[in-house]
Amino acid sequence: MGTKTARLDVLRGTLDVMILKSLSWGQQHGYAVSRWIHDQSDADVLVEEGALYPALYRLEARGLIVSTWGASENNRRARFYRLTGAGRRALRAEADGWRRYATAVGKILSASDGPRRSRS
Amino acid sequence: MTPNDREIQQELEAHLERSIQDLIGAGWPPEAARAEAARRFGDLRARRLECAAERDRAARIAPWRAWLADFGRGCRAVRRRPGAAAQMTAMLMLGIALIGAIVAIVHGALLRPLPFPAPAQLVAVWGVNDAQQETRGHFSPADLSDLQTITRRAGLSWLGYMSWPVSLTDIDEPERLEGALVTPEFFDTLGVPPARGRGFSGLNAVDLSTTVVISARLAARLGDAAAPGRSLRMNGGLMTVAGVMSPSFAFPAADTDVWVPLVLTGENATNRASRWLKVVARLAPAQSFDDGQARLTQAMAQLATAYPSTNASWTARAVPLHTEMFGPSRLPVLALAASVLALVLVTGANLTSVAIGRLLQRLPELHLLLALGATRASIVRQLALESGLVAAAAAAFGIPIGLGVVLMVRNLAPQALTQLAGYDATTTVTVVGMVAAAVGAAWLGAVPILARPWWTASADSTRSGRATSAGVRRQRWLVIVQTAFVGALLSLATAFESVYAQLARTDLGIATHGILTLRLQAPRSRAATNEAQATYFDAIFERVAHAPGVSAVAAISDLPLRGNTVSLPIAIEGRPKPPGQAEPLAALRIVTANYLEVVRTPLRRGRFFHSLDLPTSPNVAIINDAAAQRFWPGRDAIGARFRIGGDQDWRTVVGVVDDVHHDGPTQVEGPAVYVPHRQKAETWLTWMWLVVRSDNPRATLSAIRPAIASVDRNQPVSQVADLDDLAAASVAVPRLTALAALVTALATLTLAAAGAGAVLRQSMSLRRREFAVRLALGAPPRTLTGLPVLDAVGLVGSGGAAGVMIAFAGLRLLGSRLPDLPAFRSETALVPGAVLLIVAIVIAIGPARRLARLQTADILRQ
Repeated sequence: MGTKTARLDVLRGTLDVMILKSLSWGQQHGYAVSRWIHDQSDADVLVEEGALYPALYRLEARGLIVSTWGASENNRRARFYRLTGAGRRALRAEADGWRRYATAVGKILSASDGPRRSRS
Repeated sequence: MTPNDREIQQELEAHLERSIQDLIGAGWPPEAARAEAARRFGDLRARRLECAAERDRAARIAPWRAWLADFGRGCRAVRRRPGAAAQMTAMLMLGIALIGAIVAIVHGALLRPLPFPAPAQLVAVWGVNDAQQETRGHFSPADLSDLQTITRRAGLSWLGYMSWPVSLTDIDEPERLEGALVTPEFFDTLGVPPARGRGFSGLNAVDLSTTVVISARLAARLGDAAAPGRSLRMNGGLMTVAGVMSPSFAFPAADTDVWVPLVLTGENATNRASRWLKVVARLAPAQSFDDGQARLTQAMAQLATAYPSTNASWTARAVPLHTEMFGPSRLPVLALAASVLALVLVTGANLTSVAIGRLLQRLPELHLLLALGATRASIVRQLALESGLVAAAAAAFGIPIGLGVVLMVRNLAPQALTQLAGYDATTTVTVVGMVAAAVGAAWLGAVPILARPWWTASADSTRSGRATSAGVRRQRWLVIVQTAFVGALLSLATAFESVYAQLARTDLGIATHGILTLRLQAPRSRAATNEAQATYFDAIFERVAHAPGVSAVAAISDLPLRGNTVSLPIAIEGRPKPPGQAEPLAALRIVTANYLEVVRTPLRRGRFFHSLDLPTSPNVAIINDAAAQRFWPGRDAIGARFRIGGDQDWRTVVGVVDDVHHDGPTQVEGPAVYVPHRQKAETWLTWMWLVVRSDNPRATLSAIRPAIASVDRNQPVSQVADLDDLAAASVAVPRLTALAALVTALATLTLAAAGAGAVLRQSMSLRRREFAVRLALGAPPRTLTGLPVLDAVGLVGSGGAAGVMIAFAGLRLLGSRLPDLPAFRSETALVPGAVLLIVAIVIAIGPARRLARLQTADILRQ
């Protein structure tokens, strides 16, 4: 049970930073964000599309993004999201953390030497 | 479903629709595409509820987030302009500190109820004798006893007391305690029983004569030895401690440590001529003050009829005990309060001026914000938050400073503000400081709202310029108002200062410099006869005279400036007392032969005492000028004879000396009689004040102690004081009043000068274009430098003149109600005028120098 919760938390954090990154190119509606994540990860990262929306609302509540209603590319009514200053700062911090984390895990996984044995 | 829920639903459905269209576009059959899109999306209803929950949460915290953002902007604005913020904080801090302090002082020294049950029913009672111009006469124990009996049916209860120093011996070092001789009903009338043990009521005369009640302070110091039921050696006799008062009980004085019951026996019970008890009465519950006074007058009339030889022409007046105890602090405290009120108004005006200045500085920024779509409300909110920050900082510093001010005032003038002694000001200063900070913040926040019409005008430069000059005009009016207050305060300060200076210069009739004084008490074993007392005291005088550093030693029974006077009836030879009238009174002062020479009281006629004025030689006396005028008008008093107090034989006047200011420079002395101590008749008068002249009085004390101990090691050395210090203490009230007025006037002046300087700079910078044009037309630069000076003198002068007029009118109006108020004199107007002129020139120097450097080209470039 504990393991499952921990994995979900990681996923949630991951999703937030991916959303922030997708909005760093300019304002997008929810569907465009989910397509961008799907395309950028070569479909390796599987996000349940419905999970995107609570994350967007949460980020908006934290003041990291703001939304406005507008017209989409095919002239349909859509809600657009864009980053705030605070969101941009949060993205930089999160992205740095992720990179350090990924590098560290990468180093561990490519290690050639095993753990030292200790006498007890 | 709420509109919000519908929006969420629409957004999620739009997502599904796009997904389906994309899948169909990729070649999926419509049904399969629909199913695949729904699978990829997951549970639509659950997601919609999650989104709604997030949205609700966001709605709940949105206002806080807005405030937080404004707070952040506020902090940044303060950081960008630390000068203006610091200026506002400093002013508000000063205001908070002074308001907190003054409210605490007024509360502590004037408004606090007396710490007794039903305090409004307690009245101080003074004997009044118009013929003798006596308005604060004391009572004889016999009269007090009769007053008790007469008014008992009307429900009045009484107490009497007098200062009664007590020597505590049989401990490591003998000491003199402040004591009070009190009637047995003392604690019952006040309504405060001892905290431990019992009071005096119900004890018989024998028990009373060996019983005392002591203070919590003394009980704590002596420990078990002073527990109720134990005995202490006081004034040579063994006294049983009946009870211990609570630590807060401080009557008649804050330092009273022992209450000794007065037993009405022997001479006390019958002698109505010697009046030495101070009296307090408690009116019946719900009895009005006027009714109490009427009963009192009635009772005194009965006494006058029953005992015409002693009580004729004596009546009595009641004064609420609160007024009696807090009255002396009234004038300095009110002066302080009035000055601080003016200071607070000036601070308010100055704050307003700074707030307008801050708006002016920020006009471009505010206009930009408005142009970008910020609402006026959000700008006002942000400015209000900045004000809140300023007020919070001001309160954080101002409240501790206010507490410091209370302590400082208390230490500066303990004699003038005795009621402040046991008062804890923390709560008052904190609460008042917080309220003042809140009011300050609200005012600073209100200025932009009140001034909205001109700062919200459109951002075009002409109107912006007009807005700026409208703001500066308001500031100039504020400067005039402030200067008016400063002028009024300076006038008051000058008036109080001249009153104090006059009192401080008053010739007291004694040379106080270089004189150390202390109190001596003859122990019971040496006090039985006048002869024994004289021998005992002479031995001490002899030893002290030979102590190193001492140049002269003398003694007197009632030391000037100590507030004690023994007044006794005087009978003049050859002038029988008119029937139905009491004998006149004169102050009796028992002195050593050399006393008047040691304190250098000028001799008008006749001679001083000499060593041949002995018990065996004819009785002699020296009288003061007032006695000579009163008792022997139109003739030389030398050689005249009289009897005073317990005299059996006639006493011959051998000299007339100047009047002295026995009770300080504000009091004029009545008739007084000096009698050599070897010829005194009053056995009960068992104390003397030692008067030691030396080059360094304080240093001499270490030599005096062993000299006294060599005669009697149980004689405490107590109530030591420089006569100079006592003289200073006697003018403590006018000094404090003058100081309070001066300090607040200077504080106000500083604030107003800073405000006026800022406004002057702003006015001048607004006129730069005009000056440039003048320069371009050939006006020499020198002519410009005079402009700021003229402007400053005009601004400060008009305000100052208004202020002096306010002071003049105020002193005139209040002068009739408050007799202690000083009169308005020429210097009361001239000093503020001169000070304000100097200030005007000083604040004009900066702008004048800037104008002198002005180059037309620079301005045109700008």
